[in-house]
Amino acid sequence: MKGPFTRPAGPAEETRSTGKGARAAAIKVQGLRKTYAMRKPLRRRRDRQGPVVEAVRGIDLSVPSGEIFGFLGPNGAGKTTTVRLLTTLLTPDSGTATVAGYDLLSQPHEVRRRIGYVSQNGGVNPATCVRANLLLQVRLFGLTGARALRRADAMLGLFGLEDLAGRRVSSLSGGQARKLALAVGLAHAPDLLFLDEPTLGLDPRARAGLWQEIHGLRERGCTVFLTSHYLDEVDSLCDRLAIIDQGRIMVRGTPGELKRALSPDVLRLLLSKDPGASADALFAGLPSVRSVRSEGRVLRLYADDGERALPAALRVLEAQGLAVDTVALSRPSLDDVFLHHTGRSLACAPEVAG
Amino acid sequence: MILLRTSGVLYRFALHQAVNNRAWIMLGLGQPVMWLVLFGPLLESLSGPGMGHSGQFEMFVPGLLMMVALFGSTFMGLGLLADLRAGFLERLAVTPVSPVCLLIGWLLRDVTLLTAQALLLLGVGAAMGLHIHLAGTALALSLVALVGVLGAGASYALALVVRDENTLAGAVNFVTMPMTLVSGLLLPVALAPGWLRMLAQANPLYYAVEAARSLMAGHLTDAAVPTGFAVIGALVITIVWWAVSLFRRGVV
Repeated sequence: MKGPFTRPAGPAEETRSTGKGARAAAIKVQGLRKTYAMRKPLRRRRDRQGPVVEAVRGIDLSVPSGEIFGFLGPNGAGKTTTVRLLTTLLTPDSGTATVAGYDLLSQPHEVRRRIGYVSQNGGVNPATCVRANLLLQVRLFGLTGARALRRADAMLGLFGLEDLAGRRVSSLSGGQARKLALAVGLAHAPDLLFLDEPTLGLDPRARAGLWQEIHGLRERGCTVFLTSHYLDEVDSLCDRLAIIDQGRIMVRGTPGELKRALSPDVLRLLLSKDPGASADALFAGLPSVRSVRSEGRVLRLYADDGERALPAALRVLEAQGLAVDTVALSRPSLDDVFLHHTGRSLACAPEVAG
Repeated sequence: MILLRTSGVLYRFALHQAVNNRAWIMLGLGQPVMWLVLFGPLLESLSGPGMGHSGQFEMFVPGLLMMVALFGSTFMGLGLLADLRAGFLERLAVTPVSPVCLLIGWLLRDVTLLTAQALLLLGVGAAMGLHIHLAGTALALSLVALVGVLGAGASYALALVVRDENTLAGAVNFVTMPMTLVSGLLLPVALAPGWLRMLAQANPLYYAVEAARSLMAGHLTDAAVPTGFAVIGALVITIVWWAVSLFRRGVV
């Protein structure tokens, strides 16, 4: 079930944009692999080898400079492993990568100088105050004296953390701690910032606040590589995305491209009962329907012309004696793209607009 | 130079972190003083070999100093594990900073804290009638610092190996408890039966305690002094080398 638009956004992208405003790739990855051998501790050495987990199975990527790139996938898809590989925390089993202009394997030190990294849990020291964490970061990157103080204060101002400067990090709210983590990740003005699940566990208000901050990064010319399993996050923040599932990239492109490639329209029908496995075949005769997905009582019809397909589809269902509870006609969402390429929906509940 | 500067930055941060911890200050500073005030007087009525010829404090305070050095340092690995859990060490690993700077900064912080504890202990001791021999006490403090580096270095290295708070705490207790008991730290080993005295000879802390007692009594030329420094110095080199090699491999 490959869509017609799943052109790899790798080298082709670059040759296309060699003219004015051409940008080097901030990240370029080829054939990256990582497997974990689950070692059983405290066993005799030869019994230690446990099952092998293939976390990342040959990833190719190219992230243009100055863009926000989203890595979308469910938990355990290999997102965090990929980020840990690209930030030099893990060594790949095979593959090559250039990150921020330097070779990941032979020049990890240069890579570390130029990137920022905000892990899932933030990585801020909880037993110290807000300002101390910012100061530490800028001092570790070489700023001294008054310049370090000025830079730390500038970051406090930029993220609206001035009033919290002297507060102990462990006493911050989830949203405040995330903001601080982002500020620390950016304090040394990196060219490229990695954000691993930046809004995990935040309330909607704090998420919106953080999205705004991430949006602001692009205006300052910073490339952002973020992982997420939130569809709306990737859809609204990212210029380009890749969908990863079970350690492999299933598809990549801009959100618009991926949705258009699927079909211009999608019909979501909520049936009163499960139509069974035969649902897909029912619509074979309808010319404008490209493909059909059924998940329980929910049918999704991907159509070229949704307005014409809708009455036809309703007639087909009526002929089969299948009652329709609700129906919605819309453009495909990123969840449709995800479902199409992985065979599973990433949204928690089937969304059928009322 | 960069190594030193970075170590200095990390030292200041670690010290800030420790001083921010009110509970530690109360416990860390209060405990040795409690030993001195609540346990010291019990020794007054004791007599036997190694006791009595000088004041009780001259025997007891050097032992307490070594106890502070051991107990104040060997649990430092727990702090490393807390930083590891918080993802703080991971963030440091994505900076150009060498992990060895982190080890240096932490060890310097630990020595600073131990020295503060030791000075407080000496101050209270002096107020209670301890005679302080300046040169000897200064040398004894440097021995306290070395034992602290030894204990903290071993604790950090062990923390990186076991990577679990409960295992680390158990291991530390398992090692430090017998070390304390057969070091003559609270009571002189001279009181012990022969076999226990033999056992003490295998305990590095015993040499540190003996050296500290000679130093604080002003007997700077006792054979116990160079022996103590040699035993502890050799162990410090070994343990720090072990810790450095572990840190170089990466802390996360």
